Amino acid sequence: SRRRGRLYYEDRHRDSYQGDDKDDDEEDDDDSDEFLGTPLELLDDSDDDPATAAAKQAKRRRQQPQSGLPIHQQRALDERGRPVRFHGAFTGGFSAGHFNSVGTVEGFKPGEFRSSRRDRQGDQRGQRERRPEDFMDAEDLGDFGIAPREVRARPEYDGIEMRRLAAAATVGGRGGAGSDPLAELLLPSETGLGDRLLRHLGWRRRQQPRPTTGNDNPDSDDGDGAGDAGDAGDAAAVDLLSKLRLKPGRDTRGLGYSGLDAGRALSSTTASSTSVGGMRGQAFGVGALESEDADVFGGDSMANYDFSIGTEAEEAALASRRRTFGWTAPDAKRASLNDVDDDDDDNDDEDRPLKGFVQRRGGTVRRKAYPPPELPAGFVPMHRPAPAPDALDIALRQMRAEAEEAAEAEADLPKPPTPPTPSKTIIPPRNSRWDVGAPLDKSNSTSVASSAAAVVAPAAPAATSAPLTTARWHQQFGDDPAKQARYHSYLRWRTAAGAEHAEAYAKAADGAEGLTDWERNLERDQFARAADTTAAADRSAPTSLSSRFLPAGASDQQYGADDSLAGKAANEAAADAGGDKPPTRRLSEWRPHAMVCRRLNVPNPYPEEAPAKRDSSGRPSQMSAAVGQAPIASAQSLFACLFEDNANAPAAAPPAPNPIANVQQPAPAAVPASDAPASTQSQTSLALSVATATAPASVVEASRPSMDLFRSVFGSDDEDDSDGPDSGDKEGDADAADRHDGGSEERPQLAKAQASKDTAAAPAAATEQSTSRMLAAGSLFAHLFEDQPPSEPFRTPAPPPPPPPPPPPPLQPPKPQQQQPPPPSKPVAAQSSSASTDGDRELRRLEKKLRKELKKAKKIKKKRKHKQSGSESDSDSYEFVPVSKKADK
Amino acid sequence: PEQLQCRTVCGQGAVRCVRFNADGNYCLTGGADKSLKLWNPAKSLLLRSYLGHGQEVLAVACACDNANLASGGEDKMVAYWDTASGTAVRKYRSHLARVGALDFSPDATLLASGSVDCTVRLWDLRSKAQAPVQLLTDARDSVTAVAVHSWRIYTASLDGRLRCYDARKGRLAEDNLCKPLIGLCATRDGRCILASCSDARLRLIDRDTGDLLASYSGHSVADLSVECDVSAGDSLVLSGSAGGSGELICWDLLSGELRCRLRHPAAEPARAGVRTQASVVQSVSAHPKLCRVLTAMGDAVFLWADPAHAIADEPQ
Repeated sequence: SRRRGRLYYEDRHRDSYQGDDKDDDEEDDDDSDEFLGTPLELLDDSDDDPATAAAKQAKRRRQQPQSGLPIHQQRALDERGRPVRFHGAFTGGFSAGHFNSVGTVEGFKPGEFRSSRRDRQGDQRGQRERRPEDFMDAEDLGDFGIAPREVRARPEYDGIEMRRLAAAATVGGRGGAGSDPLAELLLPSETGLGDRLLRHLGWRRRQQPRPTTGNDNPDSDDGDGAGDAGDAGDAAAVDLLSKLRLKPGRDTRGLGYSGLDAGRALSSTTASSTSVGGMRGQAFGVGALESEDADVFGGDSMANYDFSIGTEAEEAALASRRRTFGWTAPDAKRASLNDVDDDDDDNDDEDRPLKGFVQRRGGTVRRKAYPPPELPAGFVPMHRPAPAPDALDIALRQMRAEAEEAAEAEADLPKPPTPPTPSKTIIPPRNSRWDVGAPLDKSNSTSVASSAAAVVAPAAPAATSAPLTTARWHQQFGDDPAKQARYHSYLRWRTAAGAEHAEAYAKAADGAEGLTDWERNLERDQFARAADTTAAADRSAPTSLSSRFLPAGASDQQYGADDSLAGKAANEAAADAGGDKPPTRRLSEWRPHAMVCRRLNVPNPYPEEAPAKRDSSGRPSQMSAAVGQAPIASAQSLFACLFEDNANAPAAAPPAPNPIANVQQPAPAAVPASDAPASTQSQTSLALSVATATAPASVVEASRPSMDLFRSVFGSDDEDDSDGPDSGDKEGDADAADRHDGGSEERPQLAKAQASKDTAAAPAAATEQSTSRMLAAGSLFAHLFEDQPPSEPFRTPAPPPPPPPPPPPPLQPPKPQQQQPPPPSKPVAAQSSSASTDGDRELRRLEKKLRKELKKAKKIKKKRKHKQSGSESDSDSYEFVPVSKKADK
Repeated sequence: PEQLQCRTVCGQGAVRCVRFNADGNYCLTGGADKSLKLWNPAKSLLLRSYLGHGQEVLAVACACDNANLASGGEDKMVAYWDTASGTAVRKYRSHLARVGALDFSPDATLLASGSVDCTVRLWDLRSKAQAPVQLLTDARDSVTAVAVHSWRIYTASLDGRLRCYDARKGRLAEDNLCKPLIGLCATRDGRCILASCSDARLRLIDRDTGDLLASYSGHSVADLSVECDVSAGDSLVLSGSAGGSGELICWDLLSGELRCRLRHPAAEPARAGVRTQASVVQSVSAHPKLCRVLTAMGDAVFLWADPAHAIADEPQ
């Protein structure tokens, strides 16, 4: 039910209750408004009816101040001044029941129900017809309800009826409502302004008044006016109105436009067919948009054709009519002075001016013509606006400049000199977002500015002002095109055809007229000088460029030094000269890290670039090349960089020193001597030389070797068939870890251990041991540093072409043995040659065995360490009981 | 800014660096006593100290949302602070020498730090990695100033080069100014770069072409690190000076004429433990919106304001 108790608070503290009656609050604004001062006493009309008296009393009660009471003691009253009972959630909510009667003694008493089924006539007979208001609440009829009631004049008292009554009263001569000033005041103002003006002029409407504004239908106007006008005054008013009526233009067409008129173009053929009543239309042929059912199947009548040749005037009229093709514009030639008041709807109004226009009477006045002002001599009647610095224009110009710059850079830069070590500086194709074609070289040298010229400066002082580009080198005589052309042809003769200087100039200046001999001589000398300068600059340009390429052998500091040498000299000179040298700009490529781009909210300019190829500085391949030169301090760092995962790997890339050369070097000295100190020393030097290998033959891309390699080096023990029962995977792992940790210190120890073991063994065994030791050391490092078949070092002395190694051979390794003198020791040579004849399998078996021995030795050493902790010294002689046992076996 | 509005003795030894925060209501000072402090400069009110550096704090920066601060110092460390809690969120220790320049990227997700080790390191503040996300090693000498403006990273180096790393174009533009650069500041509109050279001259460089647009002189540098800045609205060029008793010098940016020299009141005599060039205005920071400048000289921070706005828009 929408019925709610109206809640009123005596006080203005409306915040003290919240409920769904908030909308009701607004009705009671008069009660809740704050006001100052003493309220006026309500007028007490004694003659009021009891209902209003009660209402007033209720209102008075409501307005009795309770403000002295605190909020919780004030009572809520409904609109009749009765206290309101609030309901909780379980008693039906705030406004439950019918007038709060639910739960009281009265209970809910619905309205009387009368069935209309039994008593169908009851409604008609007993009471009046039901209206919607009968089913609506009182609030709905209020000001804020769904059907607010408002005071409105009844139809018999609205303006029209009143006027009619007034008119009737005046006719009847009886003073009545018409003379009532109140009624005059109450006249509705729906009469138009024109009506009022007319009435002011004296016109009185007698009959049914017509609204005079906003009516667009002329026919109804005319009809009404003509039909109802009994007297002349009204008719005149109607005429006057209809003449003043203007038709507002609601389209964007010109004045008087009425469009193409089919009737005029096809005047004879479109006689509208009169429809016979009943059936209209045709079954076929006409579309829904067809306004009228044309007789599409009707035959053409010969009457539509003109067979006669009429008079010339008729012909002209006919021709003009045909020429118009339905054109409805007025024919100015034929415009006559017809009366405007003739019917407007006639189509044949060519002779008349436009609707609403009156032909001018009297002759036309010739307007005085003023001649245009005299133009000053030399005036060009064309305005060239100064180009506004438009943002788009600027951007376009900039883009164009950049494109030109890039094109120029790639076209005119001499090819970068071939890098000194072509195997390692592979320039990947440039896959930048601004890729314009030719790859800009990736080092720091994509220079477009003239800083290169500064470098050239000492060599070619005349050329420093000219930019580097070859095209501009040759633009020596740009101010004189003819001379420039001659210079070009001179150059062409001289360079392409190989002509001598004088001959070239003679051919170049062959066709030139107006040159005296003196001028020719002068020019020839100029050309010779310019050509020489250009040639010198061209020669020096690549070298200057190459100086800015970072060779693989140069360190970073070197680069900076030579860069600053030339630059600083020039700068200092400029500074000493006192002038403020304008800054020079050098552009180069910079590859931001993808994450940097993301953090800076820009797209990556080199999106295709694989992130692994970039070193951390964003400058490709410079760091690794520099590091390749840096001496490796210890083998530990090598191991560290082998085992460290990724981030620093490229920076500290192992230079892959060719270990074989260093391994091979001391071996021959060690083996034939076969005595303890020499061997020890040689082994130590072996390890050291490996550790401090500095001469890289090639820089191999640093990558972590596969796990197979590690397994083959630090192999798990399941491969070892001859292992003792105590050895397990743990030992192997510990071994590997030990090697990983210990690195460089261990190798000499190991070598010493084996060397001392050699002394105890037989000579033959010694040779084998030393060979295999050497093999172990070499192949171990070969494994670690290069992906190389382990048998490689030993294969080379063999005369026949070696069989392809079983693992896929990566790079063809440099063969240091061929450059070195052949090893002087016969035993090694014999051993190795026999091994090579046996083939790789033999060697592998050998190597495997040796690796096992290595491991054993380490294991023993570890055990020893555990046993005699602290007291051991490397040079002391060990007892290698298990080793010798093993060796014997 | 003509009137000295407030002078704050920071009590942290020499104030090496002072910066307004992002909205300009507060300021950060890095002091010689290894502390970074947050102040209300108008009221000389110390809000918080950030402790954790091992040596002097030489560079400070404030993130755009004021939620984080960054500082770098003599101890080669770059610290990333949480403003509210005062704890170091991250400490980056990969610089090889002292860190003298810092700047946040516009949305404070990237931090660029320039150091005496000739490198600029870019730190990704979103990740927890301790390694820099990128290393800029083009500088041949100490990097003295770093500024990140939209997607460009400007670095000034003592090798006389002003470098602009454009991450959008993937391009590095090196402007050889032939003089060691000791300071750098991008104008607010980003079209120009103001570089402070060691020959006591400020040079205004066009960002796109590298042209020298203007140069300002009149201050003295005396081989010290003197910062420069551009006032809000790009109207004034500001620079500290070593001349006199410490001056802030303002030039008109367009005309290049010297507007005013603001003399700093002489330092109080001989505070204990303060050993600094007391008459050098080392650090300058312009308010992001208003006509206010903060300068640091000796152990104090000075707030200069336009007298018209001095009281009106006092931060609450």
